[in-house]
This record gives sequence, C-alpha cells and structure tokens, in this order.
Amino acid sequence: MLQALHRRGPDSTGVALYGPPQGGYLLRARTRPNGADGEARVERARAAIEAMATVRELAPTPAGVTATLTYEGELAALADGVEAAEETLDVLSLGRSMQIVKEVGSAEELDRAYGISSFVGGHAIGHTRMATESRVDTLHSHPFWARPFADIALVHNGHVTNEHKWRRRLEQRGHRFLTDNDSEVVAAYLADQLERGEDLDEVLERSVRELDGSFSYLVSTADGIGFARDQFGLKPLLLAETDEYVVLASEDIAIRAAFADDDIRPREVGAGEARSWQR
Amino acid sequence: MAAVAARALEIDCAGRPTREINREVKRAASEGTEEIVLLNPGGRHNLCVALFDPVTVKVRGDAGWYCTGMLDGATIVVEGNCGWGVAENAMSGLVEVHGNAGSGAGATMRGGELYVAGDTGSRAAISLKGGAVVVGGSVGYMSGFMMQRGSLVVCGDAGEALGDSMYEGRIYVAGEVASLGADAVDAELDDDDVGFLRGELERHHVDRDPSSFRKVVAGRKLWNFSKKEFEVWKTAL
Repeated sequence: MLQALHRRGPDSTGVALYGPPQGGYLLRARTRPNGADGEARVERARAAIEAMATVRELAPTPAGVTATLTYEGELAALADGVEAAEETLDVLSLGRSMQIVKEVGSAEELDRAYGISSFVGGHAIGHTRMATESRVDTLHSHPFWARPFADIALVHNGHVTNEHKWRRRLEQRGHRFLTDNDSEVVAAYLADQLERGEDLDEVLERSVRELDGSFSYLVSTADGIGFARDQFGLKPLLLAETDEYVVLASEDIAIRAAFADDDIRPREVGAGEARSWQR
Repeated sequence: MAAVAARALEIDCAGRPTREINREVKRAASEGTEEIVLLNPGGRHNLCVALFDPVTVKVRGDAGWYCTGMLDGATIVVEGNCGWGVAENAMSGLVEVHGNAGSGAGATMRGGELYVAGDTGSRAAISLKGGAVVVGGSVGYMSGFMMQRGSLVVCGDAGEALGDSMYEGRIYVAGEVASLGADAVDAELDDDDVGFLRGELERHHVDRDPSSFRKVVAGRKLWNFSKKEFEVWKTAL
C-alpha cells in the first residue's frame, strides 16, 4: 500500500506495527548519523537502555536497536533517561505491542532494510511523507509515537494551524516533543486525553472542533484504530470495511494495491467525520 | 489504403504508465474504435481525460482522481469506484460510475451527464455550469456550492450547506438534507421538474417516485450586494 503512494510522499516512509503484546516493553531507538557505528553503536545503545531498565533481549537494526525490557515506572522517565544516557540515541517508540519503523526513503527501501512485510500482526498504520514545513529526517517522519504514552501512534496528512496552542499547553503539563512537527503535537494531544480515561470516539470527534487547519489523520492504539478528517474535508481519506478488515488510505490506488480484486466500495469519509474500531 | 480500426479493443493497464494508456485510448477512439475496455485500472488517476471522440470506454475496476476530466462526447463506464474530480469540466458525453465517487464529482461540468450509482464525497457538482449530475446514493458536505446552471439530482441524502451560494440551476433531493447553504431556498416541484426527474430516473434505472423529491434553487439574494441585507452577506461570507 505504501509503495503505491510513493509519489505522494517520496521523502520518508514509516509504519507502526502491532503484534501480540509482550510481557515487557518493546523499545525501538535510532542512533543519529553523527553517533557511533557498528558494534560500538549497539553497545552504547545497550548501555543507555540498561541504565534505565532490565534488558531481556536486544538486537541491532540497520540504524539503531530494538529491545524488549522489563521496566516499572513512568515511560517519560524511561525515554528521557535513555536519551540522556546516550545523546545520539532517539527513542522512536515504546509500547507493549507497538513498534515504529521509519526512515528517509521509499517503502521498498524500508522493507529491504527492516523486512516489515514479513511482520505478522492485527493492525498497523503507515505513511509516506512529502515534507512541507519541517525537516526531512527520520525523527520528522511518520508515524509519530505519542510520546510518552505506550502503544499510541499517529499518521497525518495536512497542516494543523493551531498546533502551537496545543504544544504550549502540553509542554506546560510536562510533555516533551522531539520535533517541531505539528503531527507530533496531534499525537500527544490525543493520547493525553486517552490516558485520562476518555473514550477514543469522543476524543476524535472533539479533535475535529479543537484542531484548526486541514487534516486527515489515523491514530492507532494497542487495540484499535481511529480516524478524523477536518470540517472542510480538505485532505483525502478513503474507507472500505468488510467483515474481515477495515482499510483506510489517502487514495484508492493504495487500497487496490493490497486488495486488488475484493468486492469493496471504498468511500470518501465525510468532512468532519471521525470514527474508530476496537479489536 | 486506410487501416481499418478494430471495433473493440482491450487494454491491460497493469504496469503501464497512465499517459501511455490515455494516448492509446485517444488514438483508438480517433480511428473509429467503438468500444475500449480498460483492465486492471487499479485506482490510478487521470484515466480517459480529454477524450473528444464518441467512443465507449469501460473501466473494469476502480479509477482514481480526475477520471474523464474535460470529456467531450464519449461515454465512460467506471464499473468500480472513482476518486475525486470525476467528469470535471465535462463538455458533453456520459459518465457512469457503478460504485462510489470522491469529492468534487462533476465539478465545473458544462454539459453532458454524470451518473454515480453509489455515494459521492463533499462538493458534488461544485460550480456546475451545465449538464446533469445524478447520484443514486447520498452526497457530502457543500454539494452544489456556487452552482451556476444545470441540475444535481440526489436520490439519497445531502450533507450540510447544500447549494451554498448557488447562482442558478436546480437541485433535487429525495432523502434528508442536513442543512441548506447560504441563499439556497426550497421551491415548488412543478410538472417540468417531475418530467425531467422521471426521465433521469428511468434512464439510470433508479426506482424512486419523481414527485417525492425536494427542489432547491438560488434565493438570488446574493446576486446583488445590498447594504440593507448586510446580515445575509455576513453569513454567506
């Protein structure tokens, strides 16, 4: 699906994948290009993570590490602590079932490096990015982890014009953002409400009124996926639903790349529409 | 000796650039081919744009954005679903979509007919300048926005702000209307309307009572600026 959308977003590609929940936390982190290389990179990442949590398994990835951890405590402290212990390391995702894999380049390149097409799981969201306002690098690519909330990720097409307001409010409450990207703010804005026990559908519906600008976004949690589209319906979003699956995409070309001959009727979601599905 | 064009042609779109497919369709149509079938369209954009010959093209599957834009005289049948901007700026001809269509279906059409059996997204028949857009299902938000001529027929429901700032033209809705837009007003359905609707519904095999439609036209308050009606303008803008 993502390769079919490559021409929409040639800069970077990413996915948030949800597999069976692990006993501990799954952490994915990436070393910046100016960081250590080879064995040293893995060992320094291991040391940084071990400074904060018990590492059960750790494996290198093409640009960082993936680890399974035992940890009791605040995830913000864990992510911030790991990054403080090794300053060239950025935590891309933390969760019990979620892993975010993202890089600059195409979906084919991402798959070649990380073998994402062999992943088995219940749901996933993905994104191909064409940057308009912020930098083209791994941290600015989607999906954004709704740091520091476990298992919540977001992909977004559009431009949220009042993001600074929500950024400031969340920062006042102690949130830390890794980028100046508006989508990262939307991820935390949603997750912050979910964490306070609010219902996903209500949070999505409220976001249509509270976020300004143009947006079609997908948000994923440990057990579900939701979407919202701005009140003017400026950014595309298609939905097709069967008894077996729910598929959403910016363009039918992506849906047909995965479900070529299925008898489905993808429809454009309405302006201001929001909805979610739970497993 | 002139080459005799095949009466029917099949084109497999898989793995081919759209520009090449469209060129082949145009060439075959100009040489007198009567029917062209496009296989494996896969939701790709811009299929069958600027087709000026009276050919019939059957798209066997989904088409993407701007399908059949600038159509003049051809008949295009999309047997699946269609993305946004279908039949945009069509001059004449017929477009049939068996599934759903995206936003801006029939945008700025000047003539001809677009029939969508399923639903459309927002802004169906936006800035319509002629011809007819007939939708078997429902239309989204702001349909008929700034319409100037022609007809929009909706057999299902219409989203918010229907007919907002329309100058002229007629909108008919059989189902619920979420809300009328600025200066869009109800009008009596007369015999001409019922006759027109009956013709359209029969042509597209839609089983609806033509006299059950609600008619919406321009209130014409926005035609000329009037300081006395400042409130009308304030809401419209």
